[in-house]
Amino acid sequence: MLLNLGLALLGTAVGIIFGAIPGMTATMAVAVFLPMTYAFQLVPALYLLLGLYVGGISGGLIPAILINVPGTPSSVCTGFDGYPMARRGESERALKIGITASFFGGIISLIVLAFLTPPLARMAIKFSAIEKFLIILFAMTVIAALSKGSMTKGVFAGFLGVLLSLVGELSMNNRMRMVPDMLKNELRSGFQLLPLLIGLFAICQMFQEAEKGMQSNNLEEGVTVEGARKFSFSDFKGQTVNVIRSSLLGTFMGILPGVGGSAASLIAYSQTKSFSKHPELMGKGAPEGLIASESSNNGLTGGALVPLLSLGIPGDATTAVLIGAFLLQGIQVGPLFIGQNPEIWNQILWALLACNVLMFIVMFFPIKLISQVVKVRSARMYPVILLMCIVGAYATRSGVMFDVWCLLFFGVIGFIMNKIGLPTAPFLIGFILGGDLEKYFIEAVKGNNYDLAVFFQRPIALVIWALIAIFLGYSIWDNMKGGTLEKMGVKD
Amino acid sequence: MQKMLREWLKIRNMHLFFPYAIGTICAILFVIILIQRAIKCKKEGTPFINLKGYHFFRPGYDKVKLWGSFILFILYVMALPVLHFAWASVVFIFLFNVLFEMKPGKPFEAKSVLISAVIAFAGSWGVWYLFYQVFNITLP
Repeated sequence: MLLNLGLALLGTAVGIIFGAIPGMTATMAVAVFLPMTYAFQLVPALYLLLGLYVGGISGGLIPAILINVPGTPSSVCTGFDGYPMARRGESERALKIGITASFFGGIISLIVLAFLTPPLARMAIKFSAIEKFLIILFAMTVIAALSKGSMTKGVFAGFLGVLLSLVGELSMNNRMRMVPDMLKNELRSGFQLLPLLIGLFAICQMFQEAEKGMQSNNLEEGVTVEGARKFSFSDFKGQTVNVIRSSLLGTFMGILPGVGGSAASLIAYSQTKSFSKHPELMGKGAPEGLIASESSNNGLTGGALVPLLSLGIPGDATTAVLIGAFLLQGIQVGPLFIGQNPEIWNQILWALLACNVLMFIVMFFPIKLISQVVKVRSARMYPVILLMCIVGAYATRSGVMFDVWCLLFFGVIGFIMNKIGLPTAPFLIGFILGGDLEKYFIEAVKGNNYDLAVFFQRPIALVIWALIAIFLGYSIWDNMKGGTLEKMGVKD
Repeated sequence: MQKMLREWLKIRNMHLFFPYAIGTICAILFVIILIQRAIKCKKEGTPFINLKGYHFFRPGYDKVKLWGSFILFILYVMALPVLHFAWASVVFIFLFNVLFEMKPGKPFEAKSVLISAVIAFAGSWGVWYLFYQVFNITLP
């Protein structure tokens, strides 16, 4: 237990540092530290990784408030009101309001996770290969539908990910496909998840920062953590509805696969503005805007675990990375996970609770010290991160240098995808789900005399088709309007 | 359709069905993206391919740091089997640090180079000790 709590503390503290340095994200933190979990069993590994996740999401509020640069995409709205508060000498108050709202958001999402996941998993157990295939198709539709910019590009990126996941040998007939002769040994089991995701989320980020010249962050003159007006819990008086609404919105956005924290933050912020008695004050240093943004982005953490633990579908890029931790331990996440691993399920809930409490303690009390993290130079961090990435990629299959080259390859792929506007999150989720998509399709068709009509006959299948149609309809309508999330400035 | 699927999903062909199907979907989506772009360009009265003023890299990007990090990465991976993890890392993490801390038009500061050396040495051996000795993980 002590080891678990120690790892949760380490994960939370390191996650906060990653979150607080602009350009580094929670996903990157989890991806980089995944190799460390080779040495642990699943439960301690989850304490560490969930700590990184919660800390990484929460840490983003520090630079958003102090230098008006969101540390992570999920803190995009935090600076709208946090920074004006800091400019008028209320930095400490703003930081503490943000930390407290983050804590509430995390706890509310944990409650939703605890109550929603088991019934969803029980329902999913009844699914045959047909429904499983359609659920994955549905997840990919949602990812695409909510992709910023262009729905078509989101779908395209998702299917490219699926295509890439098919490289290698099909276990059903032991035949290779899409593998050049010279790489048939290295690619027998296809591209490995870990080099792919570390490449996409860490190496690609390093190249992007190198392109920008590894700029350092400076605290603006006049903005210090010392503040004129002190924080008091009475700042939350009259904000109960705001906290609950924003946390639930964040949790709901987390449940939808592929939706990032910035979407959750923006939607909660705009809702709060709509319901506010003083909308004219929002954006000028109103605590309610800060509360909305921070409770929603931490609400995302529990929400994103719901589809992962009940259906085996990651809710966001970070939980997609968490799949790696389960795979390393030989545990399949999906409908059977909770029933077969009740102990691990309970531990996940405890871990998430512990990480939220630790996040609050680590950030709230030594806030002046923690705030110095924004001064850490990313130029000094990236070489060490690279070191961890190399270790992670090489250790994936206990010593295959090809996986280290894949790290570079996917780093470059991620860099190019960002340049041409192809979202990487659908690509990653497509890659993770591609193998299952193929397996369930073949099982469903072969088990039903090769008749495609089987996908339209069962009632649950029809419900899933209806959901697919609704999301496609929504996205087409939204794209015609110009993209709600795009207009709101969603960047992740 | 049933007959065609039966043929495709025979054991000897099964591995090819999904790559062809997904590849076809990708090709169709790519064509749709091109059509969407063509429609958008027509509406806005802009050329379909407009290289004038187009920058793949951000304007004024840091060429030395971007291409330097790319080349260093390749050399680092090539050096790993030769020098082994810890020593290759000491050399290349130092070079990465120096590269990323470089300021255009300014000479290297001795303090910065010293910090780079300390990070490279401590980081590399620290990671080696943690993963190889403590966690017993295979390193290059």
